[in-house]
Amino acid sequence: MAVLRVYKFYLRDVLSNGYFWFWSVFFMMFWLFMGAFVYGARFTLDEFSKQFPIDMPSPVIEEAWRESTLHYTASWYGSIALFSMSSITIGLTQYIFYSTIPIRYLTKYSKASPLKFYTGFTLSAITSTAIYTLILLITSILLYSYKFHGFKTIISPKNMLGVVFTTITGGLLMYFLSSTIALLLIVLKKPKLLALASFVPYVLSFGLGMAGLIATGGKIHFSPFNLILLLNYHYYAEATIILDDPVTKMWYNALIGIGQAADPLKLWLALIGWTLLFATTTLILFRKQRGISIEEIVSL
Amino acid sequence: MWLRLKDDCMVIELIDVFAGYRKGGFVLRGVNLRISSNTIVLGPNGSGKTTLLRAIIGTVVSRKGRVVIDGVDVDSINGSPGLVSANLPELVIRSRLPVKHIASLYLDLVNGDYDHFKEIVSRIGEENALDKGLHELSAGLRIVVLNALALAAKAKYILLDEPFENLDPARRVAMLNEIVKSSGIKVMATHTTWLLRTLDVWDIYLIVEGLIYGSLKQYELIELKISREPISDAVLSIKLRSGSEVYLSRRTGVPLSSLDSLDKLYEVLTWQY
Repeated sequence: MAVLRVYKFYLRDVLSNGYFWFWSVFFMMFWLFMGAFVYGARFTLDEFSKQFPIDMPSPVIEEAWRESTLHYTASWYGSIALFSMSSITIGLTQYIFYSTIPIRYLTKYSKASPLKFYTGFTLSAITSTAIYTLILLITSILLYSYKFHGFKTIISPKNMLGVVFTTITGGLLMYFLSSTIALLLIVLKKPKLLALASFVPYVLSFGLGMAGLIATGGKIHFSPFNLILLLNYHYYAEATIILDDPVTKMWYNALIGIGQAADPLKLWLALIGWTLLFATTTLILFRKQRGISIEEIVSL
Repeated sequence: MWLRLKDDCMVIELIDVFAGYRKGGFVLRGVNLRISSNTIVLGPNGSGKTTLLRAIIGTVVSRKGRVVIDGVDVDSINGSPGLVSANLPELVIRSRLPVKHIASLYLDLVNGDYDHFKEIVSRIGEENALDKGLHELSAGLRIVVLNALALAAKAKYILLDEPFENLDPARRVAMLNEIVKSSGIKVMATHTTWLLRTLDVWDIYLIVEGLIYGSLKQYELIELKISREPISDAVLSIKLRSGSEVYLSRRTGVPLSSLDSLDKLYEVLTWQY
């Protein structure tokens, strides 16, 4: 009951917070729009057809066009879902940082044990992440289906369950990453670094995410951020994963038979490993921290 | 973990408690205190009143010594709704949600009475305060809400830090009546002295520069006289960091004589001496 009470409170709080809506949803919708109508302005069926011999049957070209737009949409959705999640971590880090004293008080003098409290909080973070990414998913489907097919073909995920599981696991990973950062600042007695440190996941997800998307492959795909992007891309388009390539080249290289396909299980193990690592550091730091004094919070 | 606390064991004990914050030394400097009935802790600004309450709750960051509530060390207390409540603002989760949602969560988790909370806020503050965020309230309304949260928690020990700060005279009296009639043992930290007229049976402690002195009753306090010179029969001798001492005795010195003149004590303790 206490878990449900805490869950409902935080879910209501996060969902009524304009900061989250602006940075995690509306700002990301803006980039989805840019992806469809600005970056994808010259990506049209006419332009696409020019790559094929003139005698190529049109059904073949149309099928290739459908596949191509599916992979283009999947790569945009995968990137935007990652950036949305990482912008949620900025807010979550601050929530967790400022909650240490109220949570210590409530877990001592209420029905909510630390486990119940953090379970409720974690579930609310995952639910809000799922709601935001669902909105972005629907936006992606609508914008890109309209742009590339005038709604005659709907570019929906080929494996919805995979996208959902990636989103939930990604939300959990981002929550534990936020907790680790917030609690680390408290344990290291560096509250003034809060503003800077809370942006670290956002900066890393942009840097690593964009590098893995368009520039390079290899080990970068095993960063926690790239794993979310890559799995979302994989399940959205049922794309072949070639770890040596950047995401935008995977489809083409798979078509022409360059590179070795990777087992998604490998990515899942890495993603779960990162999640468990951050969960463990959260637990250790939570036990170690003594909170942050109100005087230091006020001075921020 | 649910602790089984004995109902007949109603006492808060502080044993040689040093408490403070990361920056600077300890604010409390070896406090020994036993609270088993309604108590007022009187002291000037910066004397350690709020830190004392934080030490009792167990949320002070840096602490030495023991705080024991009903026989259980405060660090071991977990999942004990209805044991302690307080009006300290930092105990409230930072949220932009209206006060009604925050209060509803808190009072639900501590087995408190939301209707009672609502009634206090509506009567002493304003009913529309419930629909605003805590950060949107005036300083006076905010203290009404925080006091109401502490009182409606129906806790065994109710800790109130400056519960009349920023309240107009009429609201102060109404709030005092609410505090007096609430059940539970109240521990009130304040620098205001007007309320002592009503609270004649409460234990009074003086806190000065992190050290605590007492207890006294109201009628004992107003009979005392302040002196800078050492007095052999002093009831209390207050040591200041400057090295000097202030003596309170029944026979020698400037009489406090009336409750209003208790403020003289602060003048002596803080800047005139």
